[in-house]
Amino acid sequence: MIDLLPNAEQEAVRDSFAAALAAAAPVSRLRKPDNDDRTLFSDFAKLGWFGLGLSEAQGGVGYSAAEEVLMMREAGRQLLGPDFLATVLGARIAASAGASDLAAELVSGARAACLLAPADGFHHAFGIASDAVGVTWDANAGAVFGVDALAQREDIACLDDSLKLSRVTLPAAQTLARSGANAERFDLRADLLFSAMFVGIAEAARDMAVAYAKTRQQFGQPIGAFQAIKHTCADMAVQCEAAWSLTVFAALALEDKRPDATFQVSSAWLIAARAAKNNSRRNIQVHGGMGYTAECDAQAYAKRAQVMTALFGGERARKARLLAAPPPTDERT
Amino acid sequence: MEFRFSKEDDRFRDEVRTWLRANAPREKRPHDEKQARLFDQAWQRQQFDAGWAGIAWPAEFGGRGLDLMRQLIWQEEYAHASAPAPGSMFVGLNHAGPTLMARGTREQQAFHLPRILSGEAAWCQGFSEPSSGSDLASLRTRGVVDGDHLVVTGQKIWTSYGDVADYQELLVRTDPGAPRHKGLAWVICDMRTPGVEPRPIRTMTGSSHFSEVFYNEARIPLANVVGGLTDGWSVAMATLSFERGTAMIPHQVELQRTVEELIALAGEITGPNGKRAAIEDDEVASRLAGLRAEVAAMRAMTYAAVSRGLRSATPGPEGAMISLYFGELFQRVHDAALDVLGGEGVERVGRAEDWVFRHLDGFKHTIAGGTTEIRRNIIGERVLSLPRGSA
Repeated sequence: MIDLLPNAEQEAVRDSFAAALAAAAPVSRLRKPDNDDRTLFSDFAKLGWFGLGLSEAQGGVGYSAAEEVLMMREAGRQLLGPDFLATVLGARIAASAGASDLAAELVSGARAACLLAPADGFHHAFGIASDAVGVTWDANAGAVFGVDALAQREDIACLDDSLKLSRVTLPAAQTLARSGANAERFDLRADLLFSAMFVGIAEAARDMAVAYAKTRQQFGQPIGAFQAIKHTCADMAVQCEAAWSLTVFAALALEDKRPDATFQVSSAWLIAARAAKNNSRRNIQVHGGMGYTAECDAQAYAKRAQVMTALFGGERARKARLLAAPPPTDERT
Repeated sequence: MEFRFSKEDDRFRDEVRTWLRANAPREKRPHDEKQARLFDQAWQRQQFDAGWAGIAWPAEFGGRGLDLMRQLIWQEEYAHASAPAPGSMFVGLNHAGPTLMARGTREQQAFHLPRILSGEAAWCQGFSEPSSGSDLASLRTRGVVDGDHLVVTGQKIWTSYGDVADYQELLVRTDPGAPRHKGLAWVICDMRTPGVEPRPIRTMTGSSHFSEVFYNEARIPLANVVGGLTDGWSVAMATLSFERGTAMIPHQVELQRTVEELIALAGEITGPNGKRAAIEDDEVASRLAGLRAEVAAMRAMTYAAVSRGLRSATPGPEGAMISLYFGELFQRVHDAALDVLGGEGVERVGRAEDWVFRHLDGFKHTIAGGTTEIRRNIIGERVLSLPRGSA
């Protein structure tokens, strides 16, 4: 059966993510200078979100990549940060490496993770905290670093001022957990989750632009009646449709271990990243001068899209991986 | 959410694949329109004789009556086998036939449907006019009742295969006093009717697969009107909605293959610096990777559309999204192809020939069947519920 749409249970799961996140984490929270998303993590943990895609034997909920992308799309829509993705993936890496205590800590919310993105001779840590482990990965392995390994750090300002950014120099061999030789491709799993978050950002920006275009009046009519604005909104909708369809398709390819999984996930990342960047920028343009102000949430989506799409080699790294990947040769599953 | 073909689906795919690969014509479709029509007819007849004609047509009208999943599989395999596009059979199979099934009389169905299926009759479309393109409802070609005939005077344009078709689905104004969507008739026009004169239009590719058609008091029997004398708009809208079916899938699958062929070409041909293969150039590689991702997205959008189709009988306005995406992507792919060809891309011979033809021909993909501007209006107004503008 071909069905890229959620079934009834998946719709219910998605709606529960959306409702919980809209209540606990409205995007307007990011305008408060003392906002700290980490305070939300224990509630998310109670809902099982950090172990959503882990098997029940691993202490998880036992859902597949399909439900994970449904969750990450809602997380993206509410602009949860890289540390949310790092905690989800960190639990997966720890479980895969046999570090079940660590996995349990991450799933239960007793511990969170910051995301360690490789930079030029050091790492960027997003969401560092006194009790947060560090999670990173490449095409070969996933790794979790302990709190002590993150001691050598310099806190710096981030393009996205709602994110906590530090430069860290990781000691070479000090990992709490490292995945083995036969583990899954954590870089692909991560990029799938990124793709879903990008779709959430792209959709939220689309919805915000469309809502504004229906109410903002100029020249005696809503600006959405003008083709210049209408067509911009239409393009935003098309980018969302392309990005979400492909993200779901890639999730199923990865879940089913199809030979074109690398091809599909890399493609999904590229299409979704572009949708997030383009849509969040167009949303600012549709909002005019208001979109450029700090009190309008439009800028928050644009900054987040810019930062998230720059991590782990950005577009160039995914394009290189895509061009090296075997293309699908047969639709047969 | 799942993406799995069943064992029965796979068996069906095997059957289709075997038949198509053994039977699809290998020779190129002729450039000459009359020869091309004969070629299209022979291929349609071959499918008909083997029981593969009208895959989406219900069995009661002689079709194969495949469900949506099987239609998808057929169309994928059709493209993989490089089977030729239906050409002059397209309008009959995908527009006129389904419209007659939905709105035609028993007599109209009994006469025309078997002829379309077997490839005996070629159809063309007579909707657009020189002054009525995107604004179709403004059309002015007149149909005046005279006894048991409709006397048609006016002009149509962009009629694909107009000079080789047997019949035309023709939209004319029967009541100029009525609101513009109310006074139209959809009629079957026999292209041999005295007073009907097609004149081929040469396109920028150099070929001329469409025509303008002139009507000078052409007398069409009233029995050829489909639906009521003033119901033409609703009949025409039924026709246009069939365009969002599975008939475009082979073109999407083919575009995916085209990108893979382009990547292979970029590995063979010398690149911009004159020393290495084109694909070694960062900019070329970046564009090719971007195109690969975009065709992957287009295929996934098709599967999303099929998923919706499996749940609901009426296609939603989302169909406009994939047509828009396909048209613009097709042009980007061939723009990149000409850049990869470099100096060779100015030639219309050798390995450049097909790329250059498709590059030129591809300009139609953002115009025909609804311009990209109209499609963006549809998405804005029907998907996003933005207010309609004054223009």
